[in-house]
Amino acid sequence: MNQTANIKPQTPLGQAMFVCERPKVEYRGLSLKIVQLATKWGPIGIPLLLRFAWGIFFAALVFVIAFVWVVGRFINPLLPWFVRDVVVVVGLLAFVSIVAIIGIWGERKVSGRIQSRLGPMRTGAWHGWAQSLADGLKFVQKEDLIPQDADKPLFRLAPYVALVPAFCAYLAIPFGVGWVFHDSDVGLLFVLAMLAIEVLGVIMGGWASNSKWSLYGAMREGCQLVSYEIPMGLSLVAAVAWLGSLSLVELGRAQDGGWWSWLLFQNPFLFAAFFTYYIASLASCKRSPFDLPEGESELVAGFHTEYSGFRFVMFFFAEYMGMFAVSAVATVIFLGGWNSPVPGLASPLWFVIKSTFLVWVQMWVRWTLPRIRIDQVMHACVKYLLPFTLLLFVGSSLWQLYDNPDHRLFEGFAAVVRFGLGCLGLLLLGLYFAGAAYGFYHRNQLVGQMVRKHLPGA
Amino acid sequence: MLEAVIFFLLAGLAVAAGVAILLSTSIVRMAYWLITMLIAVGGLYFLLGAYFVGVIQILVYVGGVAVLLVFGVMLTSRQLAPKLRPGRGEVVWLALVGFVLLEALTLSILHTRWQQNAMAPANSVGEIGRSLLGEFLGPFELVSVLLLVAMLGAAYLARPKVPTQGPQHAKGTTVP
Amino acid sequence: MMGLTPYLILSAILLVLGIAIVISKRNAIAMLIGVEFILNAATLNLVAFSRHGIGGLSGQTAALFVIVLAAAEAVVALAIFLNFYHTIATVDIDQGDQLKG
Repeated sequence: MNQTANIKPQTPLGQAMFVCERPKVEYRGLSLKIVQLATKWGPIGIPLLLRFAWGIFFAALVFVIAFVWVVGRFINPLLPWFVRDVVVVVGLLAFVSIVAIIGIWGERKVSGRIQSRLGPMRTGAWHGWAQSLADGLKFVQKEDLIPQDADKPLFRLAPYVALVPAFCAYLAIPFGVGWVFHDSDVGLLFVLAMLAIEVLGVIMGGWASNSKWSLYGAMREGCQLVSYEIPMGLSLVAAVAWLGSLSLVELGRAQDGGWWSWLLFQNPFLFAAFFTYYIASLASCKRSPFDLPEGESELVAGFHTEYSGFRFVMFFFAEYMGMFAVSAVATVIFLGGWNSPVPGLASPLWFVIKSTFLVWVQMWVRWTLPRIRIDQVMHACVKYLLPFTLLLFVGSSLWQLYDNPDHRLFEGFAAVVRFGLGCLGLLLLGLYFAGAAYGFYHRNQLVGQMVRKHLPGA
Repeated sequence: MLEAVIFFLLAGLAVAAGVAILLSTSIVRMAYWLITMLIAVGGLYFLLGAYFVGVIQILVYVGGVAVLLVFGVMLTSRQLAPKLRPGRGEVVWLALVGFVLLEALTLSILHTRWQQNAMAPANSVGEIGRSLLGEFLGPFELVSVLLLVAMLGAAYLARPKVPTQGPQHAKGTTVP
Repeated sequence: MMGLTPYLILSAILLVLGIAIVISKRNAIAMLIGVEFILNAATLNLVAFSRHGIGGLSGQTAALFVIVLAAAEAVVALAIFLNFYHTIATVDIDQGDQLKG
């Protein structure tokens, strides 16, 4: 009896439960090279880079502008078409990466400001501008984990399926007349189709992770996407029917000539369609208040719970690229694209400014509104947004039918309404800027008031 | 030349997807191979100059039907996945029937003299819109009615089935 | 210059693959995948004829109809399969023989 009592518990069950080995890590390929380079040259290179950050930034900007000008003016007419295509694709890749990098940094700054804190301040010389680069360096060095029970090929494939279509959407987005990779007859539908494929990568990653959080995220993404595609498409169809083209370049060109000719201010139905499109695009980009697929408070990180390192970065990039893409579509269709508010100053710069403003509003919404429940998401789409957008489409078509010289009375009424809508738009924008200026001017007093009000005794 | 290369790439992808589905046993893999095939065929539509049909293929099939299919797979493949490999006799029959069918189709395609027209139809979107609301107005309306019926039917079939309580059972549990 | 023939042969191959998938699989959703193959073969035919044949754009219009019908078919079929799954807890279509006399 004594002997049996002395025997240690060596059952397989006990081993499985209590022995926990650190998994062997194998760094291979590009990741290993980057890590080696970073550890070798990082201590010298990064401080140097940061010391001369602004100089490097402006030099790069000047170089890019000069390069684009030289290519467009002298080299492009001489070269075969595929060289032009390669140059444009590389330029788009650079632009998209900059969008994602600035977007990630901007999101942290915006969230910080909205929550009365500073956000990243130290990395880089000015307001933590290099935070995204530092994050990227960190992510590249991270261990590349794949769960043991994951569906490994699909797990590896999913980030690419999310990232590549998000980039492909930019191939049809025009930044100006002539500033587009390919001006297609069906540009708008192409962008929508690419954004629809992007979601497939999310579902793939969520399923392949073989984790319940990821699967829940993927399921939410699936039902959310399939339902919000419809109001999104319907509000765009209202705009497309008004101008009679699916080509994004044509749509932008038709709104030439001042802010009063933008599609947003043409009739009240299109004014509302812009907002329904914007809400639906928030849902299709998984942005709050519709960010249920990655609801941090419920699902750890949603569909990318199991992803680490560079694969996670790819999902992140895809999200920010998608945000800018839907904002760009809204800009081209409703906000006049590259056309300036006063006629005659059309430039790609306007397009970037407007799209960036819309991306900023997405961030603003994210850090202002609470997340809603999944049944509320579906009800909001099927019961309210879908009938409302159908109504907008019919109303806009009827308005177009009667807004012509045959119906003199209605034409006058339409002109008055258009003028009123234009004034309303200017008023909203003016209020926004006035508020922003007031808040910026009194920023210290406002924070002090808030602290005194909400944290008595501070 | 480039057209031929792209054609054989996309065609190879589509056929490979079909073969992979035949050989695969995982239903989710099958769904993703289906998506591969759909995208490859969409690329072929682009190659044929049918941009509108290609984009609609990707938008409706990949963005709608395929997502729905993957969704259905996730909802149903939790457990008790039926054995998907057919028996040996079935495989022999399948190969025989498939081979004969393919041979018959290929021979008839190769031995027919097709009336070919090298001119590509231009300005596809506007023309398709005009033909949808002109020449094909009847089918168009029928299809819209069918879509409505399909939507209602699917919603009816997939409604939540609350177990109906008997009247005497309900009487006992109701709270005044 | 590619003609009509390669597209038709590819379409035939896809059709045969689709039929083989429908016949060989016992999972209802896999059969739906096979049906999608068959429909895509037909659509590819229509679009190829619209490009290289003499029908003009009618082929593309008919292809749109096929895509719409395929979407409707997939939705209804999935609803039926979900019902099937709720009733007998499997998607093996050989198990659905309760109505057998």
